[in-house]
Amino acid sequence: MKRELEASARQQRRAVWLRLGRRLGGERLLFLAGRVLVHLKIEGEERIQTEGACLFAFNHVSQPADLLVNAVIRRRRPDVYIFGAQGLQGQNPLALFLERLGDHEAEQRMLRAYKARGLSGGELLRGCRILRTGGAIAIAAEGEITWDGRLQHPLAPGAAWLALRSAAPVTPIVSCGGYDLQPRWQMDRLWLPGWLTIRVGRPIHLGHELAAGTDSQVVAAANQCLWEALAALLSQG
Amino acid sequence: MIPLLLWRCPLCATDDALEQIARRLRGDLLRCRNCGAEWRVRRVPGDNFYLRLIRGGQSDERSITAWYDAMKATVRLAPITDPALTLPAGETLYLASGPARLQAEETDPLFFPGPWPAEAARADKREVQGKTVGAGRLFLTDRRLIWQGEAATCAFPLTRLNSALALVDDGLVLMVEMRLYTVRFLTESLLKWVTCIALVAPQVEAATGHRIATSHF
Repeated sequence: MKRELEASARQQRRAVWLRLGRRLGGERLLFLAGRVLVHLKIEGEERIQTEGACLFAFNHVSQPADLLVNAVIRRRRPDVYIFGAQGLQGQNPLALFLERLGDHEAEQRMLRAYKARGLSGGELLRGCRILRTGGAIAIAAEGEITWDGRLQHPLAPGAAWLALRSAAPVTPIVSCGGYDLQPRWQMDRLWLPGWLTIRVGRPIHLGHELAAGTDSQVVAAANQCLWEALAALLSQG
Repeated sequence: MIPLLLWRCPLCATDDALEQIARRLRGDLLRCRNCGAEWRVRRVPGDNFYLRLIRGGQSDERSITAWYDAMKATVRLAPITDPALTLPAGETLYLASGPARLQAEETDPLFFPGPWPAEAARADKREVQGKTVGAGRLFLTDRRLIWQGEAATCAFPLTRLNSALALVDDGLVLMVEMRLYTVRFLTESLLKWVTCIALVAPQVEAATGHRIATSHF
């Protein structure tokens, strides 16, 4: 309980600073802070589709890197939905964080990822409907933040499943250099300065001809394809 | 802290032996309480953390990722004993936790006998509410996960365990059939538990065909 309260207080403090930043200049200030504090570079931002169905699959190295990746996506695609982890107490840390930040529509744009096998099925179906009606979703394809900084293999199956079921193109996005900002083993500390590059890849189609009747082998093959796309992006530069 | 990742000394292979010592304006130190090895921690912005061995062996600097690989290479499932737990013949104990706290669904009959509010009993799994069971210890054998708590003791056969996933850096989420449990370890790494359950999982699958999903480690 003490740890939860500490985490909540920590998040509250961060949110106060971020809310202040939002008032002073919104995401422009976030990008300015990104450039000053983490030498933020963005490559291939023009590849983020501004309309039509699209799944943005990104790697999951740390919370500050994810925040900036999502901000980059939202800058060109403000209607994007996001997946956020849901706890056993019903708490949704990402929604709470965004609300504290002043984003009062966060809950509506949120798809809940449940920390147990199969429990996110309902939200995946909802995600599929969003994509089929031309919406966009951002998803951390690995499912969990990496422990050691490497791209985890295999990816969680959700992104591949959504892409196959909806036939939506997948835009791979990676953040390089974000691991040492806040590694998973020390989430109470933000290490600055840093060097972060966000790289956006070309949209790919994961076997859209297989949109019906996917089975675990097809999902695994599509998953591997997506992993390779992310790994290739990471190895660039 | 680093011992959450390096939950075992990569040199002497002792579990929970590393401690991180924070130092102002200098790199932190990482020390093994068992073999006395000491590393200096250095962060390279935009890259990784590097640990240089400064005591307990030849000077050696590697990334934390490489040290993690070295640690993982020492991990094997080995039988242990614990005076707090008596097992039937033929069952092997692999891991015993220190103090931990368990949280279960508020309608879990194992820990919270009813009656429950009607809306709680009907709750969609996505709306489920957790409730603290209390303090205790968790044990992993080749057949079961055993919770030995102040309030209650219960055993979950591994053939009923669907997944064991790490919740960020906070706790281990177990899905036993369709029931959710969260275990928070107070003095040790949850990654150790994920790793050991992931090592037992192939044995369970080979013997029974039952698959257990785990987090990456």
